[in-house]
Amino acid sequence: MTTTHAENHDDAGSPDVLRVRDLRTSFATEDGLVTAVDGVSFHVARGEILGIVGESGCGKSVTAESVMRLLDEDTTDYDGSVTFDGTTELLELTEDQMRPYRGSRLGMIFQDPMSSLNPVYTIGNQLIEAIRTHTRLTKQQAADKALQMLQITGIPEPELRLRQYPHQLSGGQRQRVVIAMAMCCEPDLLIADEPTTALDVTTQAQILRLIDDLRCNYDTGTMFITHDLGVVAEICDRVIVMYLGQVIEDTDVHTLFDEPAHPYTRGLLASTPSLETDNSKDLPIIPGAVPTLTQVPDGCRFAARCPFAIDECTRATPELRPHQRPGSHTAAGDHLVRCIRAEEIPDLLSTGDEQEDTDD
Amino acid sequence: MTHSTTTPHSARPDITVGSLNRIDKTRSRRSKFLRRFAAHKLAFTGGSILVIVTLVAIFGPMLTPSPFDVAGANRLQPPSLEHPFGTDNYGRDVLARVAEGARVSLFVGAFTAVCTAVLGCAVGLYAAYNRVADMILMRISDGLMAFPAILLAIAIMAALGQQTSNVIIALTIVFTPYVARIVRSSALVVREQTFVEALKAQGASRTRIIWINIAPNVVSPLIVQATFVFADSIITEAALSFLGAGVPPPAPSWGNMLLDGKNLIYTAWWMTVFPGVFIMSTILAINLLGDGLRDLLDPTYRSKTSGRKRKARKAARAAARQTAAHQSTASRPTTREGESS
Repeated sequence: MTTTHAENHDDAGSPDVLRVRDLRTSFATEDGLVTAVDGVSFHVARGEILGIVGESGCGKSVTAESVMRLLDEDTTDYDGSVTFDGTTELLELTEDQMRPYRGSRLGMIFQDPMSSLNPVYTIGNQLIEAIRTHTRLTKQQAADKALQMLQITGIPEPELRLRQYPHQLSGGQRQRVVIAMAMCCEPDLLIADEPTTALDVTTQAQILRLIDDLRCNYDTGTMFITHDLGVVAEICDRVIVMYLGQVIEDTDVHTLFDEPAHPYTRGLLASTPSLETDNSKDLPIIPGAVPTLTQVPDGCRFAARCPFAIDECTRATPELRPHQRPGSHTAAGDHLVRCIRAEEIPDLLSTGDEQEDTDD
Repeated sequence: MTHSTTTPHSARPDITVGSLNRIDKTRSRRSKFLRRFAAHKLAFTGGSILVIVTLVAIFGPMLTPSPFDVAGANRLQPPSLEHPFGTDNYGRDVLARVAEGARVSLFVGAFTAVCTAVLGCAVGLYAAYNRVADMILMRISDGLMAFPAILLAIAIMAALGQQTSNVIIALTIVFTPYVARIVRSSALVVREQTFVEALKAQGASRTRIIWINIAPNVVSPLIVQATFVFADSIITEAALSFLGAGVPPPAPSWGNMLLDGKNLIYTAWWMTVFPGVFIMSTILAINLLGDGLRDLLDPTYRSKTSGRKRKARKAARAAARQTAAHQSTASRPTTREGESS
């Protein structure tokens, strides 16, 4: 289930449930046009979990909201193409045409389970509403379906939950309800926007297992947005790493952890503590901060923070290109990276040459 | 509660739409609210006075002589057993007129409050969700709010003609912008919550999001504001009638009774004092009630609502202070008396 999809990258008849090509999302703000997502391309196959990783403000959530078209249409400008199920161009649909897709074929889970349910209605009411928005079930049938969905999510005492209000549930229970709501019409694509960030670690593991089970049972393609590399390792098949609105690395999850190509990905991995981390040393950090979107640097957007940056890096924006590493076990084209020096870096590291380059 | 069962389907007959709609513990929650209401002294006082005035309005006219009976022989009688509030310059019973006036005033006030709440809620919610409508509707309400309420009401009355129903229309026009503003600002806050985005992501239509999902979330501020509109419209109606632009005579309203009594205030104080007292206490009661409701409907206020709890805490604190004082004197025998007290 890992990486046979990349070969189909450009096939028209691919099994990809979602194909995003060169997506550009910009907002009209008081400071001018801000491009939050700048030329992002990726694809999600059925039954696959694609991780989208990056720091806060790198455009992960905007990418998800662009796919669902949830952003305020008055101030947002979309460009590029978002193809759903091989045929439907989501960005070209009108609002009325888009609505039947949302909730029935595209499901979404939000970060904060505390505020993603309406406080004034019971769980049952809200689930029944969600189900009846897209089906012609009677209230009784919808109530049965709602109960069934809650049972699938493994929430304790599902009959009782239906009659309760959101404030009577714990965070983990609410997230299960939100997942039940997103899955109730058996969507082809599930977008999970940091679904475990607000939960404690044990609940996180249960929710991750639930999402994993659901993709197996329903063959749902999943976009899993997170900043937690541990979660990525746990659940994702493929990963794209985003930095300042661009994809900087696109590969399968094993390659990401074994042979990260982009210096930013390396930095992220190095700054994640693991059991082997030496406690006596400070955890490495990536120096500097993410530039704001109103002042996007020329050339490589990571150059200013990159220990391997050379003059050439700031001259032109690097292309997202296949990583060619001799001896690498991934097929060419499976591992994309946006860095002109990606192949040299392991040698630089092993010879300790990096010090010299940092001075540039 | 039904026990969770091992097989998923055996539990299904238990669940019916009826059982979903029936809110568990509704009764206990309602009685909890009533208990908190009773514990809130100001709200309880306001509510009680309002109930009394309402009872006077409902039953008063049945027990008193007709408020329209003119009796020349009984002109300007001071309060007596026969006429507890005295009689006016036409010999009409002031108590009967105050009771009848309570009907008019409360009816005008309540009807205006309801109309304003409905209209203001619609305008406010619509404005919160539609940028173009927001611009237009809010500029109109800015315009309406720029006029002093009483001046605008007089102008509208002059245009529509002097009728009780027109008083309600005029007051509704005057007070709707205030309610719309409150509802709009609350709805703007609710709109930014994740559940609204989640509803959109579920494919819910705009109409459903606004009217079914956001509206119930702005009910609390709406109720509080409607209460204040109730009070304001009673007082504005009284002012209009006092100026002769409100409820037309001979129908009594508290306002036009004040107008009748104005010239005779030195000879027949009862003609102005009784309607005045009724206006004042009713407005005070409604404002107390509104303040209380605002406290009771505000979830962050909950910790300090219960008077009993507050008293208990005060007692506990006093007891703690006493024991502390005891201990300090006991444990430090060298302390002089003046220091320990």
